[in-house]
Parts: sequence; structure tokens; C-alpha cells
Amino acid sequence: MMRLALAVVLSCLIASAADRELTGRVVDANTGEPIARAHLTIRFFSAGQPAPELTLLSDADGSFKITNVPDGQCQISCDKAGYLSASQMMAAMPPAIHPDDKRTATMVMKLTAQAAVEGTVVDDRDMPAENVSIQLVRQEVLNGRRQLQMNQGGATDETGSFRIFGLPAGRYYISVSARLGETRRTKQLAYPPLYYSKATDIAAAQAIDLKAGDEAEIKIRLPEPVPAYQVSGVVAGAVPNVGVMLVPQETSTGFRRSVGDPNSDPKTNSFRISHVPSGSYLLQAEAVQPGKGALFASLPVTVGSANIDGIRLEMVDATLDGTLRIDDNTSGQKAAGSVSVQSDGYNNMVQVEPDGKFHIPNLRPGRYRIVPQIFTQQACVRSIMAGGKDVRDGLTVAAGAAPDPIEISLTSHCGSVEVALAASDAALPPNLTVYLLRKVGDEMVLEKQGYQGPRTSDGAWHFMLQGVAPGDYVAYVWPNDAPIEYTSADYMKQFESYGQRVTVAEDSKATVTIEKPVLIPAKN
Amino acid sequence: MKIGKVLAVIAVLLSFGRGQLAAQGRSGGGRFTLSGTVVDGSNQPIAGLQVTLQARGREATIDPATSDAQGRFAFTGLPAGEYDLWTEGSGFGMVPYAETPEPFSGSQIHLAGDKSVVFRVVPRGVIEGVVRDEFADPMMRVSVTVLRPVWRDGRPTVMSWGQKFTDDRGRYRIGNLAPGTYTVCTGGSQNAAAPLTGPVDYAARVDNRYYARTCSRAFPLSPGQRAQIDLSPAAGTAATVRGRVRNLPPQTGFSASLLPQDEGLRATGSFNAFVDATQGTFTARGVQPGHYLVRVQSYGGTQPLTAEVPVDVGGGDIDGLEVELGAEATVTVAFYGVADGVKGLFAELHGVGTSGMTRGGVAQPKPGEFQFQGITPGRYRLALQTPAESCVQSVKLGESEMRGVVFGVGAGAALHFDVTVSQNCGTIGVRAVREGEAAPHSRVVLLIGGTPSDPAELREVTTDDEGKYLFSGLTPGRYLLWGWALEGKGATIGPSSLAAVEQQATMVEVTAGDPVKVDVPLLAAEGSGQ
Repeated sequence: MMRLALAVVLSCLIASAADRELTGRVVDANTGEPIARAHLTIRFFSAGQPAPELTLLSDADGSFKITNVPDGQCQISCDKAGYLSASQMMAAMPPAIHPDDKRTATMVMKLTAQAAVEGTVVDDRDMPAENVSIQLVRQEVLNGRRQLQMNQGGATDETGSFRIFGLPAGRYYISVSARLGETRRTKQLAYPPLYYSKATDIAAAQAIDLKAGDEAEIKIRLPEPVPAYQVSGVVAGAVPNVGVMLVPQETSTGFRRSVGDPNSDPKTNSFRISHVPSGSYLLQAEAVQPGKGALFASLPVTVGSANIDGIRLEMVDATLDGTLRIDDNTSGQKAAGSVSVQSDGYNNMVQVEPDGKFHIPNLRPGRYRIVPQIFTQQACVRSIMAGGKDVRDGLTVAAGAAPDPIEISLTSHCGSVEVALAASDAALPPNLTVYLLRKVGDEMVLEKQGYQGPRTSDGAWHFMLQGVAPGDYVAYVWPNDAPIEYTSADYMKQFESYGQRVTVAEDSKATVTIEKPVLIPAKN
Repeated sequence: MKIGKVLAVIAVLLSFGRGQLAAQGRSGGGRFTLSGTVVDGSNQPIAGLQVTLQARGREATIDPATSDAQGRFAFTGLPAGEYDLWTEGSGFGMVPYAETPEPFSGSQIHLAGDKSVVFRVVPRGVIEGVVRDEFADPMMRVSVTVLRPVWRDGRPTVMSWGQKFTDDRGRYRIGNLAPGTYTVCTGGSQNAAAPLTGPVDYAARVDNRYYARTCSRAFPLSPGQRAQIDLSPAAGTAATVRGRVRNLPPQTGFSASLLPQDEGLRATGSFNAFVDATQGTFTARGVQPGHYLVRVQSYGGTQPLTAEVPVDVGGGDIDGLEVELGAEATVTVAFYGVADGVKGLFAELHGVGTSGMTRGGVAQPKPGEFQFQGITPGRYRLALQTPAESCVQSVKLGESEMRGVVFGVGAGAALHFDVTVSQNCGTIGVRAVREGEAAPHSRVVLLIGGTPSDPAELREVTTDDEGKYLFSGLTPGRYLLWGWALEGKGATIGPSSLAAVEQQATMVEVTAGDPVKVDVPLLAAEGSGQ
């Protein structure tokens, strides 16, 4: 039997009737104990118009009750000191509550205990260091890839102490950014970047694993200041509003930490970034143009033991133009209304115009997957061409040049796959999803994913995938929000026995049976 | 000139006796030594502390000195002049020499020969505590503001001195505080809705429960003291203010907000109204009692329109407020009689009464010209700054003389002021005295424009270590001065108003040429001490 989904931000449908009631209980997700005096914020939407929020406290037994609720939808979020705010967690699929004849809608709000990190920072002279920026970076698996994402942060007070709370469980790294006092700054010194506890880059940093309810305590000592240099130059062309910054070269987009003190002169469009320690960086410039896409420039810069002057940054229009066609001739807009551009920690969606044209603005240099959002079951991607090459498995946008226009070709001659998940006695988690992966070199590319369908009389769950481009795939089943790093072929080797190969041919249906879903232990 | 609001190193530096330079020793003159001892709150020497000296008005930097094992430091080879001395240390932020309990008041050292000083680095204090709600639960992510009584624009008021949000334990901590009088406040902001309890009947609920602005008593913070101030904001009803814009043009949107008339409260006490552009109505919920301005600004129309209406909120709802929009005005100030590229020119436009905002002029490409755009119709006055040794001779609006005069700005007006700057200026050499003796580190206030009942322009300074201050660049005329002690016997934050102490003013007649010397006796405290 499917259990009710874990609802965190709840969407509830209440059929119109008088004397409607909304009741519920707030409990600790781990112990099941009720949480008294939790703050509930409830907003009802009547006829599409939001009403002002209602804030309410749960009773001593964690329960709450609202009578005479209006018909329509409602949205609830829940807060309590010591717990993660309900809106912070990733929402599972919300259930629809159909009261039918019942006039009471009931729900259970589960709150997970927070983790917190407290600590002190002393400088290289063992004095308390004030105003040091502490940034927690959390390891996450997004779109099948392990990435670092900025989480909470804080700054030290005059005793060098800090406290960062409201952290979800997970693996963290800590970035420490400190500014030298004025006197030592005038001697062209700066603190090098620091990652807890003693690393200068995140690859060598010490990880901190936090579980719900953990209180970690750490001590940080700032390293010796190092000689610092200056990176300066001009932005070519009369480009207004250019922001220039220097970031370490190996930064992922989810966590970008700027280095040094930037200074620019809008009159001459010159820039100067001072107090930069030696290292490899990327000089990045971005100019927002109101009404148009942004301009970008990105230049690798290695700072050794001298200033770097005279850099000339050429700003490039970072708009990617494209066309979407189906079966060669027609505009594909009816088949795919939008196109998504994805990269580490980045996901942008743009509309496709009726003539099949689309424009993706503000594209920084990097590697992307272009994914047309096909909403018909009768179309799939045949090719995505840019500069004469098929880039459906990855498009590289280089620095210094406007990206080549791309042509997405859809075809209506696709195949379909029916996946059956064998019946078992084990209790299955909710949100099981089928994933169709395709191997490309060392990586796996997600071709299609499909949600759970009906259950047949033999107890097997069926998933139907339509509009699959012809090709060779491996199919897996796992819960929708599981942190599976499916883009790594190496990582997926451990699940080899869980996958089933399937070949999809044009205009035909393939069937495959999967014995068991991939279930990795929850990291709570 | 106005004292800046921002608590920053720069602000403290700027406050070191605003005003013009004393005779500089331009001819080279002697070279002197400033030596001293750094001591802590118990008069014990502090070793290894870096002390920084800066000559007022001079670009060249002086190398900082570090105190030795006996706390001694020395700067040699200094020309005569006025100097700022300060130190900055780990754990106590920036401390100026001769700090007084008055915020932003260090005072300068007058050097006309070798001098030795005792630099008392007064230990900083801390204010910390826990904020709990009416059920004694800690309140998370709540704003806590620390305020200090100050004397501004001719009257005592409070100034925001620091702000923190409470953590998940309801705790806040604001450190590096100079000794003085403080008060701590929480609540009273837009999003401070107080939650309801028990079963709620949605149809019958009333949405006006909010955490009111709740402040501790004003209390003195001693050097090095850790004050524990716990707060529990009272839940009370707050008002809903509803109003309508009478003359909103079609296809135009607008924003409306309630701003406290007291500029010091604007950071935390402002309320945004929910706007219905189709009806031209606005609604602000959860408004705490107080004196406000409703500021309405249009956008998206052919021209920007604006309005400001005062409203007093008691506790009950206010309905039917009517607002009439007027076109924004422009005020231009052109300076004459100043060479191009000379530094030290500035113009500020101050709202009077309801139009509370102070704006700095934006320097135009035309040298010597400043423009203020987007001005709401109302009453204003100009505050002008001229380069050292020069002064404002006249401020003409057309043919009318407007120096020190409050003027009205109508809807859509474009006012142009011509300011003539002259070199025929006078100087007042003030010596603050207490019982016949010089009173160093005291406050002296010079009324430049307006009257004691309606002060238009004031210069507030701190006397140097010899009790002296030199006001230069003054237009010849009659001036009034007051002085009061900032610490020790008779210390006060300032008189309740200048009108209240009008009889005790020192009057001085300024002519172009030699400085007028005058002794200003310190006011006896009015009973409204710190």
C-alpha cells in the first residue's frame, strides 16, 4: 500500500461546503513527539486571490484547528526554533485531500531537528578575529551530479565567535574569509583563502558530517598573511555597469567566492582588484543591459609574485539563439514549449516562440545540457546541432566569443518503453520513478524519467515512457529525490545489477522488467 | 554640518571637530613631537598597541606608532596643526583619543609645540540578552536595535547605534560599545505579527495582533561592562491605515509607505502599504502607534508624481486618508565666486516639518552646480558647505535673498538658487569655559541660520584638548553660541531645545578679518542629564 506522502509545504484542496475544518498536528520527524507552540503560517487562496496570512501556534499536544475555512487551496509552512523551517526541506509530492463527505481535512506536519555549528576564530597572532565571514558549503546531488552549494553563513563578533544554525543534515565544508587590519593591508598583505580547518582549496578541506540535531563546535586559526598583488585593466568598449570580480579557478557555479578587493572607475571603465594572494583565478566581468541579455567576459589569470596590469576584457553578448524544429520543417513549438539549459547548480528555462525560435540570455562560459521540454508524447530529440556538431550530450560555451546558434531537431518517430517493477513484499518508498540513462563516454546522460503508473494484478508497478529517442539505454527505478549520482558511470557500477538494458527502435515499444529499485539508506 | 548617521570608521573620523583648519605653519615653521602613554580603564599601560595619528586636512600619512612595554609612544617631526589620534585593536574596534560619552565625539589635539598626552583606551562594553515571547519561548530571527540618545537639529533624540537579529536561542549580542547611555528595542516592525492560539474561527478572526515596539529603560553602560538586557515584546493591537490617492492618472501604478517622522526610527519602524492601483487605494497593516508620513510615489506614468501626508496613528484603525499627488520638483543650486575644481563645495536640501528627508545634491557636469531631483512638494531649507576660508555671502532665488530661509517647493516647480561665495569671511575663536577654566572636550554649538525657536543650520563641534575651537568661513553677521559638558560634572546630552536656553546664549558679532575671540560658558545641566 502506498503510504501518504511526507508533506512539508502542503497544498490542500477543500471542497466547498460550510463548516469546513482544517486540523492537524505538528510532530518531531524523528521521535514522533508532538511539538508545542510551533509557528504555523497558513495562507488560503480563494478564487485565485491570496488572503492575508494567518499565523497560529500549535497547542501543547502539537495540535491546531481552524474552523470556517474558505473553499479553495491552502498553503502551510511551519517554524520552530531548533528545527528546520518546513519550507527549507525539499517538498515531496503533495497529496490531494479529498474530503468527499467529510468536512474535516487533517494533516501531520513533521519537523526535522536542525544542525548547528558554533565556533571561534583567532587570527595568526592568536587574537580574536572579528567580522570574519564563515560560509557553510553543503555537498548536494543535483541532476545526478555531486555539487557544492552555498548554505548558511555568518560572521564572527568581536570575541571571534559565531553560531550558524538551521542547517539540514549533510556533509559540509567551511569557507573562511577574513580581512586584514588596515595597517597590514597597506603593506600589500592579505589572508589566503581558508577552508576549515587548514586547507587553501576546497579539494583538501576537511568535511564535517552533520546529522539532524547535531551541535558541532569548531576552532579556526587564520593562516599567516601572504604577499598580495593587484590585477588591473580595462573593459573594452563603452560598456556601462560592468561588475568585475576574481574567483578561484576551481569554483563550481553553486559556490562562487570572490577574492580580493574590487574597485572600478565607471568613467574610464578600468578596474583594479587589490589584495589578491598568489593563485589561479578566473577574472569574470558581467554587464547587465536593461532590456537586453547580459554581456560576459571570462579570463583565466594566474597571479604569481607580481602585479598583473594592462588586462583588456572584451565583453561578449552571452545570448544563445536557437531554433526548434520537428520533422525538419515545422516549428517545434507545439511539441516543446520551452527549452531548459542546465549546468552545475544552474537551470534556466526559456519560452519557444511560435516560429520555433528561442533565445537564452546571460549564458556564462561553461558546459551545459540543452533539454527541450517536450510535452507531447509523440516527439523526441533527434539531434541538437551547433557549429556543425551534435551537442545533445553537452554544449560548451567558450569565453571570449558569442556562442554559435543551435538547431534542435525533434522527430515524431520515437519509441516507447514500458517498465515493470517486479512485485515484492518489501514496503516501497513513495515517489518511485523510472530513469532511462544513456552512456556517453565516462558519463551517463539522463534521457527520460517517468513517474509511477498503475499496478497490475500480479502486484507489479508499471511505468510508461513515451517519446523516447531511438537508442540503447539502461533503465533503473529509484525514489525521485534520492541522491543518486547517475551522471557518473563509475558511480553507477555499484548498481549494475539493478539496471536493465533496453534498446528502443523507431515507432515501436520495448518492454523491460526491473527486479528491484535502487534504495540507498536515508542520511538522516 | 550634519553628523553622519553611519557607524563607521569614516564617520568617526569626520566628526573630529568638523570645521576649518587653524593656522597651519605653512611657512615650514617648527617640527614638534607628540608623545603619550596608552592606558586602559584602570590606568594601567597597554603595551604593543598600535596608535595612529592623522593631520587634519593633510594628505600625507604618518606612520603609526606602537606603544612600548610602558605604554609609551611618540610621533616626531610634526608640523603645527590639528591632529586626530586613534587606535584600533582586536576586540575593541576603533577608539578615538579623548572619547566622551557623546556618540561620534573624539576631539582633536592642537599642536603648537611638543606635547604629551594620556590616551585612555576606554574598554568597550557589550549589550546582550535573550528575546522571549509571551510564552517565554525564545524568539528567533527577531531584530534588536540598540539606540543612543543624541542631540541633533537642536533637540535630544535617539539614534540607532547597532542592530542584530536573534539566533535560534533568541540571543543577541552587540559588542564594541563605547561607554554611554543606551536603550535596547525590539518589535514594532512590519512583519512582527503575533500568532493566534487555540482553535481559530477563520471567518471571525481579526488580523491586528502584533508585537509592539518594546524598549528597555535607558541605562548607562560602564567601560568594559557586559550588560544583560532581556526583552519580551508585548503583543498588542496595531492599526490598519487605509487611504486613497485622489488624482491617480490612468495606467499609472504607485507605491505607498508609512515612514516615522523621526528620521532616527526609519530603519526599523517603516511600513509598506498594500496597494490596489486599479482603485487607487492603499492599506498598511500592523502599524504601531506613532507620528508618520504617508509617502506615495507613482511610477509607470508620463511623469513621476509624489505626495507626503502626515498621519498620527494612535491605536485605532484609520480610514479614508486622502492623498493628492503632485509633480516632482527640481531644485538647482549654483555656486559663484569659486574657482573650478576647488574641493569643499556641497549642498544639502533638508525637508522641514513634514517633508522629513535630507538629501545631498548630485554634482552636475557643470562645475559648481548641484541638483536635487524628484523632490516632493513641501517646505525645505538649504545647508551649504564652502571651501575653507570662504563663506556664503548670499543665496538668491530670483531677486529674493533666501540665506537661512525656509522656502516652499510647489508641484512641478524648478527652483534655481544662485549662491555667491566670498572670501570676506570671519572667524570665531571659541574657548569653552567652566568656572573660569578652559573646558576641553566639551560640545559647542553655533547657530548659523534660523532662530533658537526654529534652528535652520547648526554647527556642532567638540572643543580640543585646550577647550578651544575655531569656526572659520563665516559670513559676517551676528551669531549665537552655546556650550555644554559631555562628561563629568554637569554633563548633559544637550538642552531640550535651544529656545529653552536662549537666555544663556553667547552672542558674537563677526566681521571679515581678524578672528573674534570669545569665551563660551558651559550650560548648567537643565535636569535633563544623561
